[in-house]
Amino acid sequence: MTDGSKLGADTGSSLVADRISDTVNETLPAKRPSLPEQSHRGVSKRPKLTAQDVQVARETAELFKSNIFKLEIDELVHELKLKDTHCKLIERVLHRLYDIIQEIPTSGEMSLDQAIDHFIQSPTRIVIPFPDPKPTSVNYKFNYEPPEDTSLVGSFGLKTGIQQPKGMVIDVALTMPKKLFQQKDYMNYRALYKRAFYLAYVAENLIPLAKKHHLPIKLSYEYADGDVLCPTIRIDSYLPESPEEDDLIFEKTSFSIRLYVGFPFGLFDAKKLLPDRNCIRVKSEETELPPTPLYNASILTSSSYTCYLKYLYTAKKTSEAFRDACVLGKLWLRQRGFSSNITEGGFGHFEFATLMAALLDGGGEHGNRILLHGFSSFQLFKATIRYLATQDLCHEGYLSFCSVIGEHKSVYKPKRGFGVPTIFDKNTKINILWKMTPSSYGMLRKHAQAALDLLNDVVTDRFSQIFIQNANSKIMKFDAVIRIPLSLVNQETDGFGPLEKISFLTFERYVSSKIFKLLSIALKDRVTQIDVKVSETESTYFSIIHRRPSAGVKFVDIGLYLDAAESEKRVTKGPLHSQKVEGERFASFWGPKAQVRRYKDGNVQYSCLWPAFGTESPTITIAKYILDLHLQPGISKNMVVNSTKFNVLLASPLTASLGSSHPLIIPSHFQELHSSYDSLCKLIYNMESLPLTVKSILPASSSLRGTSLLLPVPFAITNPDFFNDSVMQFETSTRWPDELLTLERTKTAFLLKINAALQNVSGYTSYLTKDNSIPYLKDVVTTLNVLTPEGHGFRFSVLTERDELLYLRSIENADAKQKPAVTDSYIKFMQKYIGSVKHHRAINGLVTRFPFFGPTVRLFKQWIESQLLSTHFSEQLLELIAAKVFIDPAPYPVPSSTATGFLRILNFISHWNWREEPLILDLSADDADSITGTYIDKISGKLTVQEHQMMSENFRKLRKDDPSGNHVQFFVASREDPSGKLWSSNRVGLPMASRVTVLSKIVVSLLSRSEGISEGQLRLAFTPALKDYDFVIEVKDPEDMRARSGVLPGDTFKNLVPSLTEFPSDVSKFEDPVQNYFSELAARYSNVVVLSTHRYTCLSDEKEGRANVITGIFNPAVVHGKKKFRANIGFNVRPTEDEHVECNEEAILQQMVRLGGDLVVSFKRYH
Amino acid sequence: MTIKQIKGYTILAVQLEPVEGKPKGATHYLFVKKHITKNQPESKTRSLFVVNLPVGASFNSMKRLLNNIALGAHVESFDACEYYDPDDIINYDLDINLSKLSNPDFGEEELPSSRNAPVGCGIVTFLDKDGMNLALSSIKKMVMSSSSSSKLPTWSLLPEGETGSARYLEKSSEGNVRLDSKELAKSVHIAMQDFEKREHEVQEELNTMRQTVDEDGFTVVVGAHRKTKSGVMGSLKTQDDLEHDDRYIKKMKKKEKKDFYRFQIRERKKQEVNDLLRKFKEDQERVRVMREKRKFNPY
Repeated sequence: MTDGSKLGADTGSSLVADRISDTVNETLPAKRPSLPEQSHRGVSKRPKLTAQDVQVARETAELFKSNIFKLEIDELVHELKLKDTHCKLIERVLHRLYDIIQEIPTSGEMSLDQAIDHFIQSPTRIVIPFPDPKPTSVNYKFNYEPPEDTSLVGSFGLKTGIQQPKGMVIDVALTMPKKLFQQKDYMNYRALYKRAFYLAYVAENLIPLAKKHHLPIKLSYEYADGDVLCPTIRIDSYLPESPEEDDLIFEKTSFSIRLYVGFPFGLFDAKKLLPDRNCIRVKSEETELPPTPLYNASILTSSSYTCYLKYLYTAKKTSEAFRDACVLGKLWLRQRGFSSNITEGGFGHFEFATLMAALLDGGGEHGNRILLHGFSSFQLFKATIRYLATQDLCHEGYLSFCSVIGEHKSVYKPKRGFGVPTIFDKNTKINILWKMTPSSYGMLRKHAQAALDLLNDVVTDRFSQIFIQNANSKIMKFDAVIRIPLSLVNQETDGFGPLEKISFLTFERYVSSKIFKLLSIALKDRVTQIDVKVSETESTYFSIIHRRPSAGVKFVDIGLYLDAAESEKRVTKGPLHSQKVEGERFASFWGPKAQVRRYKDGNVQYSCLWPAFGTESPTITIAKYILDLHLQPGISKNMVVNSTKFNVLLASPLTASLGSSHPLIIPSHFQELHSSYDSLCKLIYNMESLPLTVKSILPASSSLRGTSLLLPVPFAITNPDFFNDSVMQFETSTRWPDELLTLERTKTAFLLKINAALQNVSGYTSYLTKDNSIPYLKDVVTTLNVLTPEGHGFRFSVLTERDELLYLRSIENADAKQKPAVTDSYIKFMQKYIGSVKHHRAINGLVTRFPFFGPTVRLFKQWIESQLLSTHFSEQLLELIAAKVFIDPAPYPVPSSTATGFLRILNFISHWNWREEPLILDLSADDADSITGTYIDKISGKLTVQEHQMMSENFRKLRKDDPSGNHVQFFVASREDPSGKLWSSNRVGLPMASRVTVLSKIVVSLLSRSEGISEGQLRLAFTPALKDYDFVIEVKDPEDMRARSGVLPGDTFKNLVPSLTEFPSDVSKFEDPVQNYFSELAARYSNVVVLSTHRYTCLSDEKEGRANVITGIFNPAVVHGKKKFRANIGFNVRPTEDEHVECNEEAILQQMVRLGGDLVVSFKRYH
Repeated sequence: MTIKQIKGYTILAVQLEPVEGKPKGATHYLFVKKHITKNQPESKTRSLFVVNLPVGASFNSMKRLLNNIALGAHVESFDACEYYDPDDIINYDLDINLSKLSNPDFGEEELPSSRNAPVGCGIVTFLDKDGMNLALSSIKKMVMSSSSSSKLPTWSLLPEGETGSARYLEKSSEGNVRLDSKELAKSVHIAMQDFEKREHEVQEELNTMRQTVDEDGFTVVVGAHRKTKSGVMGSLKTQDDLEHDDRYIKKMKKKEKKDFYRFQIRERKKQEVNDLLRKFKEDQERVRVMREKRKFNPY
């Protein structure tokens, strides 16, 4: 071996020094391109085009996804680089540590009792970290001799270390000398006991020697990557009270050193330690003992630290970009919560790097190379991710490689999977993935597939989602999380006997595996992935005066990724009745729930039927049932399920959902509303008395697309969303008047005709109302309101092909002063007619595409409502923001539960810097909608790069004019609205936009801070902070609003609530007076005060359904400072001494309260 | 408050009636002067112009106030424009006539809904000029003689029946007020007739245009589908306009061959390289900005 001295085959400090100096000297292989400086030459002012520039630009476009991606990767790698000063310091520390270790005296042979005695008498109070079971009587001796080899292993050795919040850990491996062992020591923990003694002895001697050598350190034990068989010493620096000059303190670097004790390579016969061998003999009635793969792998891993260091080092030397790719891989895994640690998936930097090295040596089915040495870091990373995503290393096959340098023998062996994730090294006989479980492997693949999709995206830059964003939030990662206290699972009754002990090593691992198996069978297609982990609350290391970490309170956390299309199904189907064997197995697995049912298709099948609760997903019901049945009776009472609590927050409707199998995702109310709507539309389409026939009626209502906050209950006329809007178009005609007001009057004439025709249809009531939503068209526009016999309300307005033209012409004709105002009216028109219809269609598509989109939006609206924000955000804007986490969910998968969807929305808002970032959405459905021939363009196909760029450009222009976002805060563009401001201009306002950001931040941090999500916290998240406002008017309706709004009062008996069966004679008398009061205040004072209220009084008051609040914040631009007096100043003023005026707040407040009259309960001024 | 006048307006402070337990009777300020316009010079006017009206100011409330101050000044009428803008979008400084803007030829000249006073202001018209003078002088006298201790005249905001549940139960929101279909049909009919009349007038004008021969002996050619005068004038696009028309330019460009001459190919290649480089530079700049914003910190 030519570079043996460098790699650590020999002993000595030269090795450590060599490697460390290498770290410092070797700069990044991919230097940041040094472009303009060199090419200037100072001749011309404009940088001249050089061949080099073109070369770099061309190359990056080819080797990397795009220029920007390469630049971003360079920047990221640079950012993650360890600080040189830190490395230099740690280099000196390692030197000193090396010297200290050399000074440790030999111990002489000791028997077990002598060894234990030795430590009892030691002043350090150190305890030998023997693994379980503790040795009682052994017939061999313990001994310490200086290590055969001391080397730097792990990422610091490879110089792939990156900065981490918790600090970098430097791995140092001591190899025990050969002569301390016998051939058979791999059996029955013998080598492990010897190692434990060795480790404790090192620790004992390190303490006084470190002091002597001026290296103030503190020691603790830590299991290597969570492997309970392999304790290590963790060395941290600390600041002594009176530091001496020579003291080497590296506390500030936040580095720590981990001391491994390994066995010499090749000491034990690796064949006997293959994963299918048993190496722990226990007394058992069974003739054949089960294999001990974890034990075997642990011993082999301990003997091959330097072997892999060499292997990876060679890979790094042969492939220039290997190091950067390792850094990218490490960060990518970290952001998803993966590490080499058993409790964190067992796939970390080491496994990623080894996989890459193996793929550089082959890896295809015929040993063909997956990675080439000349690949860029991006290509290496992407190809490795693709390999992880597409090759099944668990069930279908495995990857075999050989860590002997120069033997390029990696090959994928299909059809020979072991049922456990496997990358097998023929040299060391280790399965590199031995720390993984089928569950964690499934998770890894899921992440890899998602990352691959992102890497293939050509439309947008996905850098941030792949590397920068953390995708490991406990509360947001999974669709549902079930938490079980581990202490409640009984070890004895649960079949954790001696045989299980040797194959699983720990009870935690055994339980996790059992739960995973149970749920995999029980939930089948309902889940796409199950993650079972035992969470530990305390830190990973423990004091050296204990043999093992104290048993803290532990929980089993079951994370589920649900399949939205399956998870809500109420039937679990089993084998056919005729299949006897399978049937019996089914019946014994499902216990009393199993039954035989006949289905419509004539099949007689074993099945289980689950109740529909509306709040709890059947999937959770099943999980609870099966764990009760097979894990521990009654355990479901102690389960904490996070998702269900969120579903409860949705208001329950007055009438129960009928005959629907999914009361949460598609309540029957929406279907009933639709059928009522359809029959009304049919009626209108068939009207013959009209001069022009109706060509199309397009809905634009949140209830008709299943996203309204309240469910549409028949005859619930107090519901603010009772009337559902629609836009009606007639057949094409050239005779529409060529002037705006007369055009509106003509429309009114048409509506009057329809109204007259409807009077003759029994059951329907209809009338026309004014619509003043478009400014400067006061008292001109009308709409037709229709009450159907089914108890629903619809409102129709008319759109013609001439409207838009006339608005545009008005803008053209307006003078410079009028232009903005006329444009405002045009925007309003677009919102009300064309925009809302397009929006409805797009969102409706999403509601069918993503089953949980509807309920998630409804919960999100409820939150906005509870925080007094719903008067500031249009429903459309809220729906679009919510759509973001469904159509562009990266770095997470598409949410499949209300809870996750909701939290991800809040998470998105809390991170969305809307001043600098646009939100560009691709709302196109996979199957384009089939409404054709309408005035509104058909949508189809995905967003193209050009469209995307055009929208970004719109945003850039907008912010150029208005950098702080005074006019448009949330820029939300889609093909339906490329301008991006249709739903957020003139409405939200800076203070409310900032408020929603702040509130979402608070809620996210509140809910992620603690372990489970408690009901109290959720309640808090849905409570408004009234003291933030300048003043609060508490109001109370004369009557309970709940039943009339279609909301079930929570505190009374259901049969006491009057049911709604018909319309009163005058519908308009049943509106919520508080809302009318608020509307008037808003109309009169919106230029002075930002007013807020709960739009749904029925939800704001749980006790009586009457109380509400109106809050206000004075507009500082208006209230503060003096203004020049002018007649049309527009708000209430008082004079100042110097002939100016200022806002007369007191008079305004008094008038506000006066308008409220008997509705007002109290008034409070906070600021 | 010692200031009595501002820019020719007399400042009349009035006490608002206290409402139970809520902000204690605040003081409200009215700014009063003679109403003078082009049509109504000072010599003729019998109206007062009042700025900063309290909410719900009506004929009755104004009359009550003036009766208190100047007995004998009889109010004839009161017009006001209150600020009422649900979406905070209307620009009250402008008078926008969408009818006229959408069709300058035969849009309505005067909209029925246009305002009679600036926003937040009112015009009190008295029976005669003397009444107006009496009222104004009484107000002035009272303001001038008042000190901080003297009692202000009270202004009663809305009466009991016009607030709270009475107001908001009776007065339902706009979108729910039933319009009487017969009356509506009538008004629509009248408006349409007006429109047709205006349209007809324009048509007539166009016909006369078609027939008149101008000084040079030309007549304007009017197509059968031309409806308006401006439509005719607007169609005369000059060559200059055409050159700015994207569609025209595109059409012309399409006819050119792009890879005929060698210089064209060379230029295109050069252009490509330049584009590539420009994009590269832009990307570098973007990354630099991102670095400054610490966008590369993953933790």
